[in-house]
Amino acid sequence: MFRPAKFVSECFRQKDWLGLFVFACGTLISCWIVSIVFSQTTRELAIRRFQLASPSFSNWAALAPVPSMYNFENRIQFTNELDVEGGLGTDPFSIQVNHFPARCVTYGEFSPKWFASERQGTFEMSTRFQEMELVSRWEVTESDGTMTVDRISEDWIQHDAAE
Amino acid sequence: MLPNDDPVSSEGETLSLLKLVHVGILVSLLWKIRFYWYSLGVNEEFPLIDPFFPEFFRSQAVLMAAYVAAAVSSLLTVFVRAKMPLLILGCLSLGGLSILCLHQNAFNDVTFLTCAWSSLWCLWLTSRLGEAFETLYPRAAWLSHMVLSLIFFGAAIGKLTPGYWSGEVIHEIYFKSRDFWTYNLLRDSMSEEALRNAATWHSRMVVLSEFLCAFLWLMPRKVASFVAIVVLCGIALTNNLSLFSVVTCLIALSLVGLHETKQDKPLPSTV
Repeated sequence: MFRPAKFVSECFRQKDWLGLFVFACGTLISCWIVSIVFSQTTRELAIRRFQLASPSFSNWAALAPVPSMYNFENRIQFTNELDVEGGLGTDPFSIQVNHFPARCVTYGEFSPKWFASERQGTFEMSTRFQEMELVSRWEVTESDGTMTVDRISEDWIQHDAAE
Repeated sequence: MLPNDDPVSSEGETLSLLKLVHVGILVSLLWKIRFYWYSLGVNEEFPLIDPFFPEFFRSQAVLMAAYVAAAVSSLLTVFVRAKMPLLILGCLSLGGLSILCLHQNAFNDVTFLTCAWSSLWCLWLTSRLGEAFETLYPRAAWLSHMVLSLIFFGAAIGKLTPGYWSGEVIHEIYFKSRDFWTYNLLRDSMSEEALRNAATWHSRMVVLSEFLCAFLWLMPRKVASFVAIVVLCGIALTNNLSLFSVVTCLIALSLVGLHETKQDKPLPSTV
């Protein structure tokens, strides 16, 4: 059976620096993934990544190699109205999605349905992992045929462990 | 010189593995090509700017170029044997896929992430062309299992949340209304309560099987490959055939561990 230590020693013996680099990347990313369970800071970064709410694009891009299929609990809701006060009307959010709830706007997945009559609206998404939940609200407005996303608000909700 | 020491035949085996995984990447990229084509039309009809992304990563031309670069690189790799062109193609493939992982209209598609990791493995293997297969192969097989483990690990940890353990997420996404043969069959044959229970146990099975696969790197080579192939095929066949775009490159990566090396073959009779 081949083991990590043997892999590393063989890489050194064969001067396989790229192999060592891939191994180091994999190990580093595994540590980061584990830390999501134990560290509030990395958990917050992981949740922000899902909602395109990272501190910067480069910060978000640095997390792109981290596999995250069907991670967390993600919900979305949408209305064509703007300047909505209070909730959008459904609680819990009406649509459950598998990952990256922000994609429901940026990927155009729902565009033919949501923007068929009016090219504007308010979009809310919720991402929850363990006790932490981030709820973000975006507004989509149109100008000269192009829609633009504005980030309106983000709220962190701390749930009880038993919830 | 013993047959195993022949550098030409040794390189042939390395090239076979490289081409196998690139074919897997190509199939993954082409699997949903009709959907991608449709998506381009949607992006054209409903242009949207999210200022979070730099302009380069919002451009439709960049999106198309990156996709074509990745697909064509994998296709050409099948026909090329020389190391330098293969390295260039490997860099193009990884570069195109990395752009797709960061693009406003593609970042969410796990296909590009699994292909990017497979492509990184391919680039590494290409860089080792020339090394004797006997010393290279154990590392190639183990590294492929490490990549697979990492992908399963990321998937498993993010599901340690009440919604997955109770089955609520899977119930809402798949069991309630997904039009696929398994879910249609279950809906036709079960009461609502039994369906909800089935979702709970299915969801738990998914989490546990992903955790099992997160430790492929600890398993014997052929066992690890076999387990990975069964789980990956199971994911796509029971949930959604579109998922073959995500798993085909990973199945190809798993097949690396099933390669029959000359050491595995029985020695010829000395009679």
